[in-house]
This record gives sequence, C-alpha cells and structure tokens, in this order.
Amino acid sequence: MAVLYERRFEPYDGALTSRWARRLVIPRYAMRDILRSRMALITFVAGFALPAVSAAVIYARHNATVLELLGQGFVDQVSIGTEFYTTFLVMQGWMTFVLALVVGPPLMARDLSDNALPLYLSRPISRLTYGAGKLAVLLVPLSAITWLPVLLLSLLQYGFDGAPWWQEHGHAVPAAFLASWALILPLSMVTLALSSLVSRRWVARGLMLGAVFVSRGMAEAINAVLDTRWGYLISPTRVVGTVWNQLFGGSDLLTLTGGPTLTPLSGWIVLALACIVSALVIASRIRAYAEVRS
Amino acid sequence: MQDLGVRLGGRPILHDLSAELSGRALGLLGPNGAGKTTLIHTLLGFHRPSAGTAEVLGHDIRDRNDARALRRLVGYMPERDSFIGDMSAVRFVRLMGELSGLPPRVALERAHEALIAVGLGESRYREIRTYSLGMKQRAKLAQAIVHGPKLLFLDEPTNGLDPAGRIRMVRLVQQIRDSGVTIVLSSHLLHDVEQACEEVLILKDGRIARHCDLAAERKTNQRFLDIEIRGDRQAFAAAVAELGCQVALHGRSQLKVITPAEVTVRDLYAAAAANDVHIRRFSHRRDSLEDIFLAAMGITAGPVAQQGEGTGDRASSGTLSPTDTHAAVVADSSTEAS
Repeated sequence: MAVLYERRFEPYDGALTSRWARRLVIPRYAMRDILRSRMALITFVAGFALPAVSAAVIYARHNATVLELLGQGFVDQVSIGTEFYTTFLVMQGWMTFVLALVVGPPLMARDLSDNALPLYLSRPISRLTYGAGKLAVLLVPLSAITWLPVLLLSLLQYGFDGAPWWQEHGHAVPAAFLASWALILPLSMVTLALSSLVSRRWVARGLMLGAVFVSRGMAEAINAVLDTRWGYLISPTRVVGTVWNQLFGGSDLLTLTGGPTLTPLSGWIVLALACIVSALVIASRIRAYAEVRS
Repeated sequence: MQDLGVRLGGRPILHDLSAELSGRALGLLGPNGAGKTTLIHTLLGFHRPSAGTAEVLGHDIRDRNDARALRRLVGYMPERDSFIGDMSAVRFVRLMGELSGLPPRVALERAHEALIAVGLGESRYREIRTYSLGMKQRAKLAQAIVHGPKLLFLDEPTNGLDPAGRIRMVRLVQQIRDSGVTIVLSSHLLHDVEQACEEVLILKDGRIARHCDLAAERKTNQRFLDIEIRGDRQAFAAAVAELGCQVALHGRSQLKVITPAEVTVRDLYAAAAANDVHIRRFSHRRDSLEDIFLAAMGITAGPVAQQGEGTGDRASSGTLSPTDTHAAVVADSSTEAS
C-alpha cells in the first residue's frame, strides 16, 4: 500500500486491464449496487423461491420415501412438461417484472441526472459498451430467474427420467428458453429506455406499472369501441402471452381471458418494435455532450 | 491541428483551426460560445471533425480506435457538474480509474491518493451529493487524474467557486502541471489562465484569434522599461542609447526604454548618476493577458503609444500592442525603483 498522506500526482506506467475486463467494469459496479439495495436483494432472492420449490417437487417425484408419504396421486398431479413450464414462466414472468421494476429505473437515470456520461465516455469505452453494460445488469438477474432455472430444472428432470422424458416433453425446453428471452429482452430494453428518459426512479416505476396494468384496460376499451382485437397490441401482457402461446403450442393459461387473441406474428412484431425503439432511445441518450441547436 | 473544422446540428462551430500546441500548459481562452468546449470535445473524440484533422499525443482523432487509445492517456474535467451522486467519492474515483484500465486494486489505491491530493482526504467516504460546490469540483479533478494521464483537459475548473476556492483550484492545477502533466485549461477567466498556463490559444467565433507563448511574452516584457526622471532628459536618453538601448521620450519627464539582454538595471542607474539625473520612478512594463485578450478580441481602449518588440506572439492575425491605458495597468503592478 502506498503512503496516503502525501500529496502527489504520478503518471501510471503499470499494467492495464484488457478491453474485455474494462467492458465488465460497468456491470460489475452496477451489480454490486443492486446487491447493496435491500429491496433489490429481497426481490432477487424471492425470484429463486419458485425454482427452488420446483426443484423440490421434481426431487420428490423421484424419491420413494416422499412418494410413500404423498401417494402416487402426487406424481399424476404434477407432470414436468409443457403445462409445468408454462405455469413456471407465467409466475416467474411477474417476478421478472417486479425485479425489473426495482432494479431498472436507476440504472441510467442516476448517470444522466448527475451528468456522469462525459466522464464515462472520455475514457476508453464506447457508447455501445456503456449501453451493453447497463443492459447486462438487467439481463443477468432476469436470466437467473427465468431461462437458467428452466434449463437446470430440465437437467434435473432428465437426470431422473432420462431419454423417455426428453422424447415426450423435450420440445418444451427450447420453447421455455425462447419464451424467457421473448420476455426479458424487451422488458430490459424498455426499462433501460425509460431509465434513460426519466430521471426520477419512482416516475419510471409508475410508468412501467401503467404500461402493464393501465394498458390492459385501454386495450379492452379500444377493442370495445372500435370492435376490433388489435387494441391488444398496446397490452404487453397480451402480446407476450400471444407469443408464448405460439411457442408452447397453445395454452388456455396464456390467453388469460379466453377472448380473441392477436396473431403470433403481430406479437413478435410488437416485441421487435419495442426493442428497436428502445435501442434508438437509449442510443440517443448516451451522449457525452448536449447538442445545442440554433 | 490542421484546418480543423467542426459542425454541430448543421451549424459550423469551429473553422480552419491550425496550430501546433507544444507547451506544457495551454490556456484556451475565449468568450462564451467561442468554441472552447467544442474544441476539447473534438480533441477527445466526442465530435468528428467536418474538415481537417488533429493529432493529440500522436493519435489521430479521426480514427475511432486511435481516439479510444488516446482517451486512455488523457484526463478530462468537464465544465458542468459531473459525478454519481449516491456514490462515495472514493468509489466513484475508483470506478473511473478502472474504466481507464487500472486494475481494481491499483485503482482503489490511486483513488485514495488522488482524493488526498486534491484535498478531499477527510471526506472521501462521503457521498458526492453531500459535497459543496468546491468539493465537487475537486472530486471531478480527482477522477481526471486518478489514472495518471499524460494530458489533462480542464474545462472551466474554477467555475462557480468563491475566491478562496478559485485560488485553491488554480494551485492544484499548478501542482499537477509542475508534476509533468500537460494541461489544457479552458477558461474565460484570464487570471486563472495567466496563473496556470505558459501558452495561450484565444478563440473567437470558432476561429483562432491569437496563439502566443506567455513565457516568452513575460520574458520580453522584462526588457521594456518605463522610466520617470528629474534632470536632463536629453542627456540621459543619449547615455542610455549609447548603452545600446532603444529610447523614446514621452510626457514631460518620462522615457520608454527597450534594453538589450546584456544591459542591466545597474547600468541604467550608472548612466543616470553620470548625468546627474535622478530616477523617480522605474517600472517594467507588464503586458497582461488581458491586453493580449482584448487585442485578440479586437477591443482597443486607446491609441497605440508604442509598438512592442518581437514577443512570443505566434498569431496569424493582430499584433500585440501596448496601449496608453496600459500604463495604468502597469502603474498598479510596477516595481517602484526609487
């Protein structure tokens, strides 16, 4: 450790970290901030409750002692297949939303409100590195409670039942993987875009809640007034439900109200548009300077 | 810089800037809107030049990879408040160090050093949003020097500071300069630039209005003397001219003298004594940065009294001309010799 009481300015000629290590600095610091926030930490840990219960159920279905206690009916009731993954993702989907709601809004807002971007961008990192770093901070924890547990649970189930289970239900695993990304990628990008636009985190959270709940009511109103079903295009839950419905090959659980649904293509287009618009908004906000137009 | 031009929002901001800046400490001067900040941003690679080119520390700013490599070697203290409010200063400066490529342990060590160096040692664990304006400025300076840059861009570092804070900041900049770091200091406060810089680039409407070497300027000024005497002025003027000086008479009892390098003040006093002349007032003319700046801006306060000798001036337009009002400036700061 150097002597700290001396006032001195010394050039640095020592070793530098690699470009990849520098790229990880932003997500590393942001993740540490998340873990310091009690609310974020509680939400993140709560996101592992269902995967833990699911793992326990899978184990219980293959444990003779537990089966003796619970009876064979338990095995018949809980089947690890499409229905299981759909239920799992619907429940984790809401958990994902809550986690994004807690973690997302401050991500860029605090850099922008304190004008820290010139300091980031005057260093050897690009705008893309900054944006990707911030996005990773959302994608990593959201992945940890969606597709990662899906894969681990599938591996566990495969370990117990082997190839016969895979042949019968294996198609649900890639579907669940894609369904997870169809949720977490647009959600992360929209959250980050909101964070870049709204400096107050509570306002950003309000907007996110409004986008999910108010838009459902508005969609129903549009459908009723215009006698159409395209009003659902503004409802994120309906759009994601439509896309998941296609991926899982149709499920009553995902149509929610059982009413008319969107076409899967329109759902994918809305999700893609959400990502593109968000990316454009984020890119326009990552600036080292304010451009003054005359 | 070679014919450097920058357009922002379709509007030309910098035009045809050509200069070679080699001094240790460069002052960027100009009124608000002259293009100082835009020039710094361009040299940092934030703006792509619309014309011409520039090289900083051997890196071409037009090349994206080169510009990124350059940003590893420079430090930047922006004009506006820039920090992460809910981070402690030491964590903030460490983050900036790591982003510049310092390994985490080294970044932490140097963050402590930098904060102590700028005088924030006692409060380095406090969140930056709790800092006063002066402390925030110093935290900004700490993040700019944490990675040991070879070149430091300081954009209005004394903005908004009270006199004591300004003096402290200028002293810090001087210390950094004296430790061997090249400084580019943008300011509209002439005194700050005069205190901290050795070379000055004056911008006006996005163009170079003046580029001069302050050190050479100061050295030249030492050879201009304003002398007031009692006695035979003609005889004294002749004696001084015999020493090899250029002499001009003005007023009723005054002389302006340009001395060659080998003539000392003692020689002038000897000449005065030999001619029974009493020197009543004796001052080195001091051509202040304010005069240089006003001349560059095209603002003259009075008629030209005497043309200055070859100074450190490198400007392509305008000349450095002492004015009559200049004498008033001189009188305030002159050395009374008798």
